[in-house]
Amino acid sequence: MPILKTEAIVLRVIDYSETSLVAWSLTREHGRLHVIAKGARRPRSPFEGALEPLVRGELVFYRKKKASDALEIAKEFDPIDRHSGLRSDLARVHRGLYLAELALELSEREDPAPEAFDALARGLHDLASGPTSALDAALVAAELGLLAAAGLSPLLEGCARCTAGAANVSGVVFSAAAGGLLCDRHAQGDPAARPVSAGTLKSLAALQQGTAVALRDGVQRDLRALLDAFVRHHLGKSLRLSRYLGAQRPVRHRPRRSPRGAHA
Amino acid sequence: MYGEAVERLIREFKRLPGIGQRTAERLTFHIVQGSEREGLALADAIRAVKEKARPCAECFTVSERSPCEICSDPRRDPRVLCVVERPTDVLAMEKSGGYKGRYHVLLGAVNLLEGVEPHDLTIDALAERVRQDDRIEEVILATNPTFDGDATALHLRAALEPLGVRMTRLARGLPAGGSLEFASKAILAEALEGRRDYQERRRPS
Repeated sequence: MPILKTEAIVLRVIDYSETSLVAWSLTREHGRLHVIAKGARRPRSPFEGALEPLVRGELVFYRKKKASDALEIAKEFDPIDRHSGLRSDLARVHRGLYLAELALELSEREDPAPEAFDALARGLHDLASGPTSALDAALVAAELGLLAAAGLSPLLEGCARCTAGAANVSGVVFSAAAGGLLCDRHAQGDPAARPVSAGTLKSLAALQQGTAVALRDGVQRDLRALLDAFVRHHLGKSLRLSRYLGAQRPVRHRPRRSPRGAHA
Repeated sequence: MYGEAVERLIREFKRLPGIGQRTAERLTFHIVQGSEREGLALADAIRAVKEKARPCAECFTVSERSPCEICSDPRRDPRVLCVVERPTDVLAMEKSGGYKGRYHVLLGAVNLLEGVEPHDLTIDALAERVRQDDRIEEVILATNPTFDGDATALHLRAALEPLGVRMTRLARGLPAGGSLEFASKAILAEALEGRRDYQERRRPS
């Protein structure tokens, strides 16, 4: 069995036995890679406790000769960036996991994914180290990058159903089913068409082109709804983490029975 | 091939975590070839556990009493509550001999990708316990130092923060008796991040 080395971002990990893990990761050269890491749950293992979701590192593994559904055998995993900042608050954790879930769904085994890898790496870096106010823009930028790498970029210039150019598109109707904006004629016959504000469209276009923008609350909510519908249409299901991307639900505060320290 | 009773026992062993066909067969034939007394003692022990072991109504650890021995022990410090993921973590903490407070067992860790959500754990019961018991001054978040453990700790923080109770997290870093030379990058990075002041404490004369 040849030994290969590749940079990988861990997407999902499950316990396999008392001491072993199975990990799904995204790589540039091999697309989605499934490995078993024997002994990874032991305190002193060559995986250094780093084989965890959202960690980027260098993975050394034995390549199986055949059987594409078999697990490759991981030998070492040397972390390059643990994205520790992601673990500092729930908003970052949930956005990071959302990207991991999306990458799991959009990637294929043995299908090189350099663009998806770079979009995910950049997104996780921004989520881990960026200011709280920029988290949603970082998420949407990375999400659009992953979608584009899978050939699913929303069409924002001209009608997605016909050859009508930008001049014939009012720019206010988006259809997840059509994959982008619709001209006035096609917007009328599409039940999935939804109005989009000019601000949302402008932000979406800017983020799609890699331009940093600040998202106001209303725009952020519209963008989220639009992308949720888009992802749901193309995957045929909602992502588990999509429910966790809104504002953190405020915890209902009921006071304790008596002031602290009041007991004898 | 071996008869229904033997096949059934192999199937039952195979349902246990970490046990495959060969181990299940080995365990089964150990019982088949062993004495009747040993085999029935095992069956009795399993029956007794299923009949008597229950989650403690206060801390959710496994016990034959509710409240459990620790929750009902007046010598345990009621001011400190240690939150762990599983009943086996309570055992590990007790073995350390260094903790005299009480526990709360979450019965798992949040793992959203696998569908384990905060409401699947005993986080709401913990918040209610802290709200009701005004003796609790400190909650130690002793979830595992893993991604899931850290995410669970964040959910606990969100649930407990409004209650104004002091929250602490177990320290992480170099193991006692270890050496820097053989420590992994991750452990060293965490030890550096969690370093503490080392000035000599001056006692009032």
